Amino acid sequence: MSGRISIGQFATMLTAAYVASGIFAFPRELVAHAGPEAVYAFLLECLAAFFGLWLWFRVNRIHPDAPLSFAPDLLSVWLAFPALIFTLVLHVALAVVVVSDFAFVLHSFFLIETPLIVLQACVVLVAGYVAWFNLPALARTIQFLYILAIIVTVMIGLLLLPHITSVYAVVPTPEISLTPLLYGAYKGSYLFWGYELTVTLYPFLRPQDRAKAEKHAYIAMAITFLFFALGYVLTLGVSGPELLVREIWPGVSTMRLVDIGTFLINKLGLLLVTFWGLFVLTFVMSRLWCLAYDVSPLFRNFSAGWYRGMLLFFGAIVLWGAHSFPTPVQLIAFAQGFLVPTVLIFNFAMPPVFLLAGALQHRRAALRTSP
Amino acid sequence: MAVVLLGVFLLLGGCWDNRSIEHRAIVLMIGIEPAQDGLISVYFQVPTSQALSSLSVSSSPSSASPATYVVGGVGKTVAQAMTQAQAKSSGDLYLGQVQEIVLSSQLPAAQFEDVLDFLARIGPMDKTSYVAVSPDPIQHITQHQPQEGLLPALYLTSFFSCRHCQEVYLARTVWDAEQHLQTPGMSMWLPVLRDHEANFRIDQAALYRQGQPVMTLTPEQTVYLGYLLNATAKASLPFTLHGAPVSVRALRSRTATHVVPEAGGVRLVADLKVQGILDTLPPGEATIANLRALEIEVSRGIAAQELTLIRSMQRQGVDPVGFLAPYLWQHQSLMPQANELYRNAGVEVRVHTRIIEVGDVL
Repeated sequence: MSGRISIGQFATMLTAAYVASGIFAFPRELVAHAGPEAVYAFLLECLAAFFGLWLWFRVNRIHPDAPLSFAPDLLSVWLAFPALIFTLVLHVALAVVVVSDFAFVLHSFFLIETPLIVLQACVVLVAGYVAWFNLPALARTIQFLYILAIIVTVMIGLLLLPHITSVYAVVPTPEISLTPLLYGAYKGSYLFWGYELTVTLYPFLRPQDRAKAEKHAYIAMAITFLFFALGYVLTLGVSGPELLVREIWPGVSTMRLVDIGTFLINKLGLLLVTFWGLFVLTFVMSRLWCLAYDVSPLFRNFSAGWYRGMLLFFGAIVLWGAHSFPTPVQLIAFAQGFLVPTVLIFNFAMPPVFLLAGALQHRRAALRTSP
Repeated sequence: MAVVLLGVFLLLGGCWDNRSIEHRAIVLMIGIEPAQDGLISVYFQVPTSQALSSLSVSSSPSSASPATYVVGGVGKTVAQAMTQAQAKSSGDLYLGQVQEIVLSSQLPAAQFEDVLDFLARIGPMDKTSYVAVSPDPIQHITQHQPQEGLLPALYLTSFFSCRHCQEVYLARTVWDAEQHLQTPGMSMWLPVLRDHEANFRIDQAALYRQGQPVMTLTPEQTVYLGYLLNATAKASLPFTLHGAPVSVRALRSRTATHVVPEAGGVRLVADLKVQGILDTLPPGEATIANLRALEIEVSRGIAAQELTLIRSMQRQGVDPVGFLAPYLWQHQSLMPQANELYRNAGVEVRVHTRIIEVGDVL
């Protein structure tokens, strides 16, 4: 729960904190709502994510050595406490959605008879187990798993290239309508849910590393953008737009087509889907760590025991939340109806509040020190 | 924490889903046809345990005993029919290894779409299973034993998985069928499977309009459709040169299609780049001028046949090539009148042929 992390670990952990939120559903909402303008909507949501990350880094610089999840000195207790609750609810909801979604994938394609709660519990337990130890250990684990999963995904994904039949759907349209483009970008914004983890993670960087770490986080986000751009071309090109919008997990449905008859494991694409469990695990473990650590300012002596107690508490809540969705239909409705606007408000309305409060605080301090 | 990890390993062992091989009826082929009173009949072809054992030691199943057995059921839906079939089987009907699905050409459109929806919703069902349509009784097809000694479903898998073995590569998967059924401006097509003497015969394509086959192409028309779909691998076509019969074989094509907007509609353009090997030509006739003349003759012949085929597909309102699909994607407001747009479209076929081999005689 304590200790410093390196620049590479920061960038990897921050990236791993958002990749799993979109990998299964992407780019269904983009294509469904933006239609031929989906590629522009994708670019827009990527730009928005860069902007959101930039905003949070600005906020991080106000108090770079302390987590901002609870900042009474900056916001006053009346604002800081609701902000903390908002943060906690958001992190729980994100973990719930990702755990529930992955359990549905496993249940639909692999372990049909296995009770959902067992699959959900396994994800939460493994993630909790890794988060049980200190942050550098967690960061090292994420660094190894995440990079491995990215490389394997790209290698196996390229095997889908011969299956592309709907090239026309991938080609950008010269005619642009703004309304579907914006709506598609809004509905598909789940792709980068999770980079707000920087709020909690930033103080664990060494002071001299912070500027460089920010650059690395942007580079990592750019690599993720390329990763999803490849995913966009493959899923849309292989499925075609009309079939894609009917699929619950377009990435999984497309990957299932990878079939190497002469190889020992012929359904290599399905094997890859289980690999995506690593994205889910890294997402949930960083989320659980963040939840347990975010409440630390509320305790006078926040010991390792308290941290682990909080970890168990939030793990149980996530498990309960994930199990409350009986089918993916309710899950999608919750994610689209509640989480999309909530995360958007969190990422683009909260930072200006913090920045304004920081500017006021700075001005007050300047006035006090001036003769 | 060690206890937690141990628990995870035990829980994810897949015990809930475990069925021993003796209790599994591994379905290799599914046949579906309409039954009386709007019901649907489903047949599941399952290999016998002896056939499975012979597969594991890489030998052909014994001709003395049947390699497969078929269990069937009837119901309002495929799921109901499957439930009835399950009651007739001691093993758990397992669909994770289905290789082939044969649908009756008599299936009404509504039942056809229900079938595809059912197939799409079964998690373990492989989307790369092959689909074919047959005018013959489906039960008979599922009980057919090919002369080559392979299990019927494996024979068909072998047939469809070789891209360059047949004149036209007619393989269609569940995934292809789903995609074509959903895509505006694209008509689904399936290979026609016929019970032919000791083997199957597969050299025709059935073209669908909204879940209903409206046109079955002749084998010759199927070759020309194959050119438009880049699926013809090694056709051999007869032509005449200065009144004498000549033949070109291994004719294959790289085809690009697009749509050109015109006043009041569109024009469909197919651009075929064909290449082939000179098969027969009278001795001493293999000159540069004659080869050039033959290339022009082949181009003309193919263009005329393609034009006739496209026009007949336009009359039926079926577009297996998907001429309009890219255009409709870019111009979504035209979706409601897509059918009318296609039927009234002008057609242009450009063929450029190259003879790339003449053998080792002049």
